[in-house]
Amino acid sequence: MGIPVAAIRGAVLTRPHNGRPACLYATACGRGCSIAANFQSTTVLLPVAQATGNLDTRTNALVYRVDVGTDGKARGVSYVDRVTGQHHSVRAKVVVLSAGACESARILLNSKSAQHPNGLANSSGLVGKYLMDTVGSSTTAYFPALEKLPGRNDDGISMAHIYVPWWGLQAQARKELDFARGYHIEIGGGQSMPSLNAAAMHAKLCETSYGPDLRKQLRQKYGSVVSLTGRGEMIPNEDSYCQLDPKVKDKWGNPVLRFHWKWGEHELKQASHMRKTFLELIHRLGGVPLEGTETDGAKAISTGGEIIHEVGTARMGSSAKDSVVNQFGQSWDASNLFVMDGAVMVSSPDKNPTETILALTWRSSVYLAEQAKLGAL
Amino acid sequence: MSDPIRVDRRTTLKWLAAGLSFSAYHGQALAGSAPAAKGYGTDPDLNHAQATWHRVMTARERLQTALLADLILPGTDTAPAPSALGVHEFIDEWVSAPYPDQVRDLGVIRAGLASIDQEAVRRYGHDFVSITDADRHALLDAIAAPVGDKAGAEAQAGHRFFKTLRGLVVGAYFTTDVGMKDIGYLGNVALAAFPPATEEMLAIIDRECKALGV
Repeated sequence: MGIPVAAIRGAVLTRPHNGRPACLYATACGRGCSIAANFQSTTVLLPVAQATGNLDTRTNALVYRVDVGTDGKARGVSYVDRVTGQHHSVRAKVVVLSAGACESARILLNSKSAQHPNGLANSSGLVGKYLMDTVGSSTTAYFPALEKLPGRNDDGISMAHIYVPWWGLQAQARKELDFARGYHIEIGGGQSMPSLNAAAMHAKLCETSYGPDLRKQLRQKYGSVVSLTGRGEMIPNEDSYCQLDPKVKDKWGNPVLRFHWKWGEHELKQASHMRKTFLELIHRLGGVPLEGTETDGAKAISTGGEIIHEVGTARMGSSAKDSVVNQFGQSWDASNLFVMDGAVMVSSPDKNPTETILALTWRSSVYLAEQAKLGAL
Repeated sequence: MSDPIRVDRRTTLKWLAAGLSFSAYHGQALAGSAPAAKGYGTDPDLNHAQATWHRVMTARERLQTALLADLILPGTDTAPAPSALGVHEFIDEWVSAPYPDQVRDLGVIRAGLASIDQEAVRRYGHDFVSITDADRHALLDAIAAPVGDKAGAEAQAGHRFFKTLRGLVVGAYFTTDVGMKDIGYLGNVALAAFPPATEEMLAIIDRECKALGV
């Protein structure tokens, strides 16, 4: 089928680095890595920042507003302590929002003032707009050939071991595909730690419905189920956005967001292409599809927000008219206000967005430091 | 069996949480289905987690469940029966939880247990708990066989009960330490380096690929 396969890259150390130990290939990364072999900002970035002595952390502080001075610039933030319910305000020379795409948009929209009647940094009216998520679709299948393998430890680095990067660029150049942009495939399965769903699914594969043979067959089939998971690029559209809910408030009286969502034609066709590709792949490998067999894009595609890669909502750009911030995450409307998270992204490749967010934040931080030294903020 | 094992709720809740988090991880609509917190917008206190529901199974339903679980996945010389691991206690916790999937399963399990009891009385003059193992097998056989689309509502419901119960029994059993060992899970052990596939495995993969023509 002309589909390339690569060893997956994970932000997991295979040898000690900067005081962090190597991975021990046990425990689930998704539940947090207490030894910091797996990258997490809480265990890898924050300790370094704290060691400078220049960082104060205030936990349980829910920021709901950026406060603005009479000059229209950011003056600090107001927050509620979620434990005590007390409201506090802190002053700042510069405010950086890194609350996550949706929450950063919510704070900006909630920061209405005489100078910024539509919310802070929102003279363009674009805060909350062009919200994106990753396109998702997956198929799970049973491969009898895998039953032949002996028992083995399949854990590895607690995530997919192999990865399929987008292979359709040439086909798109030849106009053979009916959608733009691409997706990658993550492959999961093998003799991974048994879960409730996986065990139940394996039971459905057994010829024996119950009794001593069920146990034998479960042992034999264990590790023969593989999931193919597609993750693709969404093209931002005008129908996908968030805004302040005019009625619903959180328990502290601040408006929550309400969401509007519509997948575009390209995403629906992409999800359909994912499923058709998975089914053909499964067929060629002698497998039996178990779940995720619908190929109609509208039925195959994930729900907006489900892949939790929300980005957009405070897009960067080259003018105050058609963007919220400049290329450094700096607000056009208040020069001492920055957004440094997925909100600034104007497109969202099929890759998980974290590393792009980190790279953009690094670039923005360097710019912020330079501007501060020049006294320009 | 007269008095199946009891397991403390700390254990069954932890067991349940592991099962639920798998669903959440795979995006199967757990989000948004939790009962509304008091006041929109704060997280539950996971450091001091408390069950917000009561266990709903009667002692009789738990006993029935334990008996059925042991028929579905009997113990062996090397592996205990489900009831010895408290699988029926897990199922009680599962069907008691207030989330949509669990509420749905409660309906299926409770109706199924009542129905199999009635059928025992009809066929053998005694309820499910009081009949012989052979009679219990006969009742289980009647609902274990797959049913076609044209089967009556009763047959459909019976088989649905069987599949739901079997899924919970094997799911609960093989997510215990004992069950993981029994099915052959060799992972979650600390290693200095992760070993590559052996020559034997590569040879098997090669052979199987050739057989498939790929």
